[in-house]
Amino acid sequence: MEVRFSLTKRLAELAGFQSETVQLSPSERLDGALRQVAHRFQGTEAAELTENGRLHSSILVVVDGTACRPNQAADVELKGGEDIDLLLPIAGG
Amino acid sequence: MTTNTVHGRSQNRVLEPATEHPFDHEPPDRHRRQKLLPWLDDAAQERIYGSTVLIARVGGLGGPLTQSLAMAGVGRIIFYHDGNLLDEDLHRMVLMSPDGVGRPRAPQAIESLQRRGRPETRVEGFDARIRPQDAARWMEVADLAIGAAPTYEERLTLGDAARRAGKPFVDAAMYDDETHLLCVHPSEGACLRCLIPESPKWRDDFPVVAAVSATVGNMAAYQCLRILAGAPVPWGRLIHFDLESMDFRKTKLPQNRECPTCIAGTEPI
Repeated sequence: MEVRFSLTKRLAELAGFQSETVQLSPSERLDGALRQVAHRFQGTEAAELTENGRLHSSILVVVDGTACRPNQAADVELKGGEDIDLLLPIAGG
Repeated sequence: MTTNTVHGRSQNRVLEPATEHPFDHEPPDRHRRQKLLPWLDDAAQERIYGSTVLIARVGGLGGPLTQSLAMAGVGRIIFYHDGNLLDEDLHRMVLMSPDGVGRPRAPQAIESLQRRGRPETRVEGFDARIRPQDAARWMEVADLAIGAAPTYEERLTLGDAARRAGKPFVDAAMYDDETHLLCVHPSEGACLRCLIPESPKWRDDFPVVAAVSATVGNMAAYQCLRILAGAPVPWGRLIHFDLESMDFRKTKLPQNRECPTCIAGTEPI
């Protein structure tokens, strides 16, 4: 199965890509999908947004419009075909 | 006498004022037009007159935000904004002026806000970054806290203090043409620290154009006025607005069960 990730603009700048489709084995949960994205961040400016192969806890993960935290991702089952948005908090004022 | 240039048919025409204005015999009411809004009746306007807000920074985002609050009649504005004005600030900081370059920003902002507000408006500004003890003290009197700073530390400081005091908090931020807006309920749902458990390490010399910072600043000002007036707002929803694509997204934030601010809850004052 596969899911599609979309990154908000600032995060996409750091990571070097705006969206990506990730292939997953059946019954894989959200944390597995996020680990693939975290791996994809390595070698880019977004690498500092990862900790031990996981996304930084401040990145908001939104699965088909429902938000969850990266540290709750192990509880989220995926069926395939989900749209997953990653939002990086910003602080410019 | 008003001098006006009329382009087209007749240029440089001097317009004579009307001999009698239709409102000449009514007492002036600066806020008459905004009170035509359904949610902003006389009672709501009185609540705004009697309200106090605490804000971190009055720069490119917080400047237009507080300007709109002052113009709308907010009774007392307390802000923290450290540092001297740079020439490169002038493209976005509406409360500052070119003759203030090299001087502290806070007194200039006080003067601008005082001029924009009612004669009764109180403006208190501090040439400093807000600290947790400052925020805790001011939240005893403030009705609302607002985060408009370019650091997560200042935003979290205000957000934590507001939740502990049982007061609402509005956080507004931008980067390039991307904006965030969050209204945090005094006691329910996710707070800012649920979203950002600790200050991220990354920092940026963020790209900014005034059209974007003022847009999100005024979006935030509108929600602040609604909160002060007692009107509904989208509590706990992260508003993400991309001004390039004009995509607008509203996401309900999950409360973080491990959030220390939410666990501590409201402290009696």
